[in-house]
Amino acid sequence: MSDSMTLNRARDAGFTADANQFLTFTVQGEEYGIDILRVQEIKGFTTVRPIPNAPAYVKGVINLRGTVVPIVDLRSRFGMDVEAYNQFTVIIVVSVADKVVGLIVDAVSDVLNIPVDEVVDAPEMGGDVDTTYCAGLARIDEKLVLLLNIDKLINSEAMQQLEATL
Amino acid sequence: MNANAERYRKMFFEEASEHLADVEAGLLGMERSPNDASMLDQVFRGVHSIKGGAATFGLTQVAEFSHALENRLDHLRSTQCDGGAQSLETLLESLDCLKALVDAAQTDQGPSVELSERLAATQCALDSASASVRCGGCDRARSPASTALRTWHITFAPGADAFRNGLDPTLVWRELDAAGELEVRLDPTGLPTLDRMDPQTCYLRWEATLKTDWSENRLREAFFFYADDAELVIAPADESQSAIADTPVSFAQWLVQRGVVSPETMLDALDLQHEQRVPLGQLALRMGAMSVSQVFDTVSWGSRRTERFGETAVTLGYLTRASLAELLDEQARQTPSLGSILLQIDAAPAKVLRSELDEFRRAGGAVADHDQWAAEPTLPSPDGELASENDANQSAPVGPVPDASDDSPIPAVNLEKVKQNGELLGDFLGDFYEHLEGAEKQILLIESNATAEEPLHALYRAFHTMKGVASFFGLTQITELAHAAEDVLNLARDGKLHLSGPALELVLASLDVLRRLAAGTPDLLTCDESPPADADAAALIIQLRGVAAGESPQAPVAATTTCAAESTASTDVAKVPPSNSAAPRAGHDLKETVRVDRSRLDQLVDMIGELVIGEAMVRQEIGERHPGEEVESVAQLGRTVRELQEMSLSLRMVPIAATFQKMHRIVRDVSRKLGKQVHFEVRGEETELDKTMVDQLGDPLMHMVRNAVDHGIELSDARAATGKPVEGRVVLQAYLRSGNFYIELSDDGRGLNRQAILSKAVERGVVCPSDCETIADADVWMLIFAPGFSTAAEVTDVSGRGVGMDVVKRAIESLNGSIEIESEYGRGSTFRVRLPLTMAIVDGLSVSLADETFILPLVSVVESVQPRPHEVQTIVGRGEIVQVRDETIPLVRLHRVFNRPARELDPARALVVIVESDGRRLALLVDELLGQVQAVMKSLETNYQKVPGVAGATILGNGEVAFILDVQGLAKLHAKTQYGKPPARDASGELSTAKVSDSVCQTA
Repeated sequence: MSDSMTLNRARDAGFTADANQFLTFTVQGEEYGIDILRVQEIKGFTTVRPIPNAPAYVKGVINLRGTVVPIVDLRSRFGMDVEAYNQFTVIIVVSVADKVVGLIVDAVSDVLNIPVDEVVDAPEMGGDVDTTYCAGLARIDEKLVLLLNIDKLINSEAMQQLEATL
Repeated sequence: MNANAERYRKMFFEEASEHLADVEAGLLGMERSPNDASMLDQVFRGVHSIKGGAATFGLTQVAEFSHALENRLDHLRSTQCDGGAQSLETLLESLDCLKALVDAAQTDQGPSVELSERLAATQCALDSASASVRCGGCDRARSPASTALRTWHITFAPGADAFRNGLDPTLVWRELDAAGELEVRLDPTGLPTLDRMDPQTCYLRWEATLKTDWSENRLREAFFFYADDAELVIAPADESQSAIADTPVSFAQWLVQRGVVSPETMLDALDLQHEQRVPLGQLALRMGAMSVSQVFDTVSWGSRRTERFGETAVTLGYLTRASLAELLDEQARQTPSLGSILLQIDAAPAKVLRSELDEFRRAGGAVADHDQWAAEPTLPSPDGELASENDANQSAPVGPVPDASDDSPIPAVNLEKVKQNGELLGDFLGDFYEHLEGAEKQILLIESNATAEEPLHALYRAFHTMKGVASFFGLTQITELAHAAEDVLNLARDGKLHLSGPALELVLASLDVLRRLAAGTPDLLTCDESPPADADAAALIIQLRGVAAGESPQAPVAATTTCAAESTASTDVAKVPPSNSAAPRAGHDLKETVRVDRSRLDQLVDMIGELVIGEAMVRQEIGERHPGEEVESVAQLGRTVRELQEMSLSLRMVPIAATFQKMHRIVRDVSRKLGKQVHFEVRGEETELDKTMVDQLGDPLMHMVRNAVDHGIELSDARAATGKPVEGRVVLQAYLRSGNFYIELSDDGRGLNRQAILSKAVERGVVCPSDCETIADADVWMLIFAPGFSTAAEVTDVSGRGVGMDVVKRAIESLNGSIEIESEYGRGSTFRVRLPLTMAIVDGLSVSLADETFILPLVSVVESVQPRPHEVQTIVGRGEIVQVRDETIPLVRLHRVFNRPARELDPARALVVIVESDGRRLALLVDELLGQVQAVMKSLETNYQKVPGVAGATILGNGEVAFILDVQGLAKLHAKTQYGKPPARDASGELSTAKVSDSVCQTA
């Protein structure tokens, strides 16, 4: 796939500089990364108040110092099996558009510097993972990191799917 | 646009809406009491302020329209002829247009096509009204000066972009045609051949001769909108008739050269003329082009850099070039002409002056153009500055003070001016005290270090600014005193005087007197006569002038005696304790306000809401650690937080008066249209309510008032026939009772017709015919709130389409309020709206479902019951119902509509809360009732989206999130999720209970 397309995608995902810092985390053994500038904070798992009739991957809302923040379970968002939360389970609070959303992931791994030219397009993965929210794929040492475009991941359309079915 | 400009723009819109309200009130006042000139003045001021502001922010259309309106008002004002009802109608219509225009400008949209048409029509009406008055001769009689007919040559090319800018040059000619005898010739030489012509470009050019009594400025105003790229030359064709009033300044040189007037006298005359100019800042203030704080800002900024006032204002973005030019024109217009001053000081006989003038003209003297006049480079006055505000920097008389001011006694204040600017006095005092304190500090600095220059400059600036602001308000004596002190300081600055000992004492004494005088100013607003000049001040002025004139300062003794004589000398001016206590006193007399951005206020209130939650959490935690113990510190915290919360809520409270004010207009318009006589009365308009709610109350109230006049009040004949007074009465009142806000609208009209309503309801199938006898009156009245329900025989364009009352009900309910009706057929009706004082806090009932908490708004809760097993039934295809006493209510299982687990599924063992919304009741099945709570509502949409059946979220005392239920949404959700097909009704959305009971009868 051409470089320019990769760059375009990278730009879509909000990557601007030559290299970007990514927060990486794991969901079901896979490594994912999101632009660190979008991360507001990382907090341990707390009780989540379920929202009536919300999509399955929207676990509910939490009280983040007086703000009501919806929580999305990434396992469930990726269509994977949801496991019981343990002591490594964390909520990454990110800002998407003008909203604040928490992401439940298995564990947080690292903060990586990834040069833009090391990012390649994600191949069609079929099945479980819908590649529309993949900003690209980066190979760091021996690991592959899937860089997420959280704007597409947490877009309002997906969130409103359920409303239509009601 | 930079942030500052954006801020001022916002401020303009805020102020504009206030002015519009004033204008409306004034117009209605004019109707009530046609002879009250103050109403017209109020209207005029409002329109004028809007015009000024709009011009400043480049809202040309608003400016243009308000200008036309202002012209019309000015004619009314000057001719004192009451334009009659027709004219008032036009004015009101134009007010509406102006409102719409301002709204359109605020959203940065151009006016809609419809609005544009309305505008054009109204403007036409305004212009023709003005014109007819003008031709009626009243105008001429008023100002003899303007009767002089002059002939003008006008050359005008609108500029290539005129059409693209939406301008129609022919309109200008049409306007000028009304001004007098007009002869226009089109100069088509600029037109290219057809194939080269761009149809959107204007190639036209006109030449015209106009014989008119209009002034040149007025003529130029006609071309106002072409200012930028148009070519415009307006020159007098004959000058023989022009009066001395139009003499150019360089005429002064001519006179001196010809030896008619000695150079010294001429200098005096020019000085005098210069002094008599209205300061530009004052003018800007009066014309509404700048606010007081902007003027202050400009003055202090400018004096720091010795820049001209106008230039500074433009640099700071307070004025546009165009509005500055307008101000300068106005200034020139208000300044007496040189000729008249020469006559005044007897420098030369009138005859001589006139012949000299003719001579001067013949010799090719300069054209009497105001712009040139003002900017005349050879102006032999002390300096060529445009704004007298700053002039003092250079032109403050150094040396002997002109005789004129010594001879004539100084009036202490210009009372008229003070009152004119009364509402600004609070601002003035605040600033003034600040400067006084600053000056005092500087004097102390000078005392400790006599050689330092900076404190001296600062002191000078303080006096200078005080002088400036005092003169805006016509506080003549304060101005004089500050001026005298300033002169002394100026000498000191120039090194001609050593500021120490007696001289410094003098300055210090003048500060004390200034403070005392300033403190007395609020009293001026209420007194009818100008108080006599303050003796101390007068003495000080003379002493200071003496010092400035070079007398050795020897005043300290006198100065102290004046201070001692204070108590006896000042009679009218209130005695004031010195120093700091003066400022709070002023605050006590005048209600001071601060304009705060709405979002910042909301933020504050939100944060205090957080604090309340936080406090509850702390209390809970501490309570767990010290069971059964009252911890003093926590109790203290609790009290403070609650007080703070109450205070924060009161911040957003505003009187309902503005909303009520609009109703006057509606009653007036509707009653006129329907030919009814209505006396409208408003009570309790000072009652306060949350601003958000006040804003949302306007629409429902309008519908209600309209309805009261249209359906409630009968025509005069009908009223007379039933023995009622011919004039109908509608009373709108607001009051507070037991923590709620009530609005009551009562009329003495025909009342609601139970029979008519019921038969309509039966016809529409919302009520069983068999129920007609038993339904309580109150329930019958509620039927009128059903969508599409109207008993009006015919649809008028005022009301009767049946869309009104359901809008009212929905709006009131969305504000968590309720509405009830009392009515007696033939005697009138009363609508009573009950609202909570604020929206931010919801009084709720917390209920549980398994271990989750939900909150039901208390307003929608009717009662809670635990039904017996046989009272719950299942209707095939309709779902479950609960029998509560005589009523059958659909059962909604909260856990089912929300897809959540519940502990108890059997209604007989759980709890049923009867809730009501939109006139329909639901029986909500929940596990448990937890108690009453006050919840701070948080929108789920901030970070997520709207959730059906949920109004919002709140944070409980234990830090957990709970959802606040939306009963109306629950009903919809229930209808959708119910097994079987959705209920067939719903089209009317009405009285489901009656219908259900109907079907119950059939199935049972």
